[in-house]
This record gives sequence, structure tokens and C-alpha cells, in this order.
Amino acid sequence: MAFGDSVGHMVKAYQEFYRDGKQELIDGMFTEAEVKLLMTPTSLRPAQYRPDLPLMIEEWKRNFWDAQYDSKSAAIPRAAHRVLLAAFQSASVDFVGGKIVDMEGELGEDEADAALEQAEVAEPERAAHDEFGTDIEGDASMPMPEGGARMPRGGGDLGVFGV
Amino acid sequence: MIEIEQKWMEQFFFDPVMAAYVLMGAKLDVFQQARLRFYWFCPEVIDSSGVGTGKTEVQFVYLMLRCMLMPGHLAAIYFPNFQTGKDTFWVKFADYEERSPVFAAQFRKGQKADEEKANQRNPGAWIRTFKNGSKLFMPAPDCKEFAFARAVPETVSAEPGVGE
Repeated sequence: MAFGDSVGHMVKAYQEFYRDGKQELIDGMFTEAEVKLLMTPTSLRPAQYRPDLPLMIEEWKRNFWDAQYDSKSAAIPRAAHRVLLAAFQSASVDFVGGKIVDMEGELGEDEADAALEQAEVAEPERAAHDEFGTDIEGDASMPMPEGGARMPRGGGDLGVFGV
Repeated sequence: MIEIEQKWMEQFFFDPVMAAYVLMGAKLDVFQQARLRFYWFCPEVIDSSGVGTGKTEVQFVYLMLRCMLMPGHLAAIYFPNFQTGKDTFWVKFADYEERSPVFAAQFRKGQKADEEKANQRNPGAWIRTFKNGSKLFMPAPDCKEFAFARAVPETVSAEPGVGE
């Protein structure tokens, strides 16, 4: 194969790869679909998104051509790493309303699709109380603002923030 | 004269999924894409995914990318059963050579001696040599050894000269 053929093949493949716009790296390391998958806890594993990795990789990218660069200098302190990881794992559970995607059984190559599909259809659990401890639903004693309902808070129901 | 920007070359290292698609024609699903990024960016990975999720496939892509993009790179894959390695891993060379002309061009072809040198099948290990000097080893396990001595990580990939 001639050199020109190989470059032509690569250019064509490069254009194909980015054509649908789904391969953009939203955090410098993962695509949107990958982040969604990794942020979804399942019955087989907890959420696996690691926020420290994109941070370290960004630093590594900036020093890619520096032969003297020591990757250890980009390492995030262990305590900070634990805080980040715990925060993201907690947020992951909140995001899916505490529901864990069941991954037992035959999954085969559709594992990712199954996880994403179930995460999307899972109805997040709404908080029973607001930050003042008041029942959100069925509390007739609470005065309602004129012209609109109160917005439930907390509970990871991200959908209500658009109301 | 063809000019290839430095930025474009960097992209192969920054986005291994793109490199896999462009250089090897590998089409991975979302789960496999995330897995390849973990392989690529994390020095030590334990992958306990289930049967049929494409572990061997992504390991092949990962090792090939390292060998293609880093001249003189030494990599190895180890299967507890040699025949399994031949049947599930080594056959992928033919698949990907057919799929991607860029990948096929990484190995010397034409003369029988060149082909034999590029694709050695020794009793102790099968070795694939790239044009850029990189080598992939698939050693045959020694059944006379104790089982625990063979319980090593499935894949090893080392910088040239480091040796693992």
C-alpha cells in the first residue's frame, strides 16, 4: 500500500469518526455516553467514573512533548482523590434516584446499552420533605405561592429544576 | 508535499478510541470505549468484566495501538492456555489486517523470509514484529510450573528497555 493510500484512508476514517458529533470528549477523557455509563451504579459494580483521571490527563497533555515531565507531579493527593470519588459516587446514586440497574444474567455485548436504557427509564425518587422538613405533597396547611406550585428540593430529581 | 500537523498526531495518543477507529477500523461500543480509555491511561487495570463483553478484543486493540504508536515498544499477552490465545487472540491479526490497510501495512510482507520474521511461531512463544521495531509476544505457558507461578496479569506492556 502506498503512503498516499494510507493517509487518504486515515483522513476518511477521521472524518467518519467525528461525523455524528458523539465522540467529543466532554471532560477531556470520556464522551457523554461513556460518562453516563460510568456514572450509573449497577448491581455488579458501583459507579466507576473517576474525576481525578481527566484532571491528571489534562496536565499530561500539556506536557506531552516534554521529555523531562514527571507524571507523578500531576498526581492528586490521596485524600482529595477520596473526597472527589465519594462525592461523584454519591451524586451517581442520587442521579438515578437510588435505583440500581440490574446487570445480572446474560448481557453479552449489549451491556452498555442495557445499562444506559435502564438508567434513562428509572424514575428518580422524589424527596418526601423539603429542606425545612415539611411534607412536599399532601400538606394543605402550607400556603402555596400564587400562580405556581412549590418546587420540590433535594432527592436527586433533576427534572424538577426545569419547572 | 503532505504536511501532518503535530496536533493531529497528538490526537492518536489523547483519544485511543479515535486511534483505534482510524488506524485499525475498530468499532467499539460505549462500554468498550470506556474500557479502552482505562487500559490506555491507567498503568494498572484489573478487568473483571463478564464473558462476551469484548475483553480480548479491546486488549488486542490496546496492545496494537501501543506497538504502532511507540517505535521499539515491547508488549506481551499471556493466556493460561496457549491454544486459547491462538484461537481467540492471534486470529484477530488476520481480521484487522483485512479490515484496515493502515494496520496491515505495519508488517513486512511479500518475501517469505520477511513474513516469517514478522510472524514467528516458536514453540515457546509466538512473536509478531512490526516495521517500527515493536514486538508483541504471546508466550506459551509452562504446564510443568505450579499454577500460582502462572497466575500473572493477562497483559503486560512495557516501555522499550524496561522489561517486565
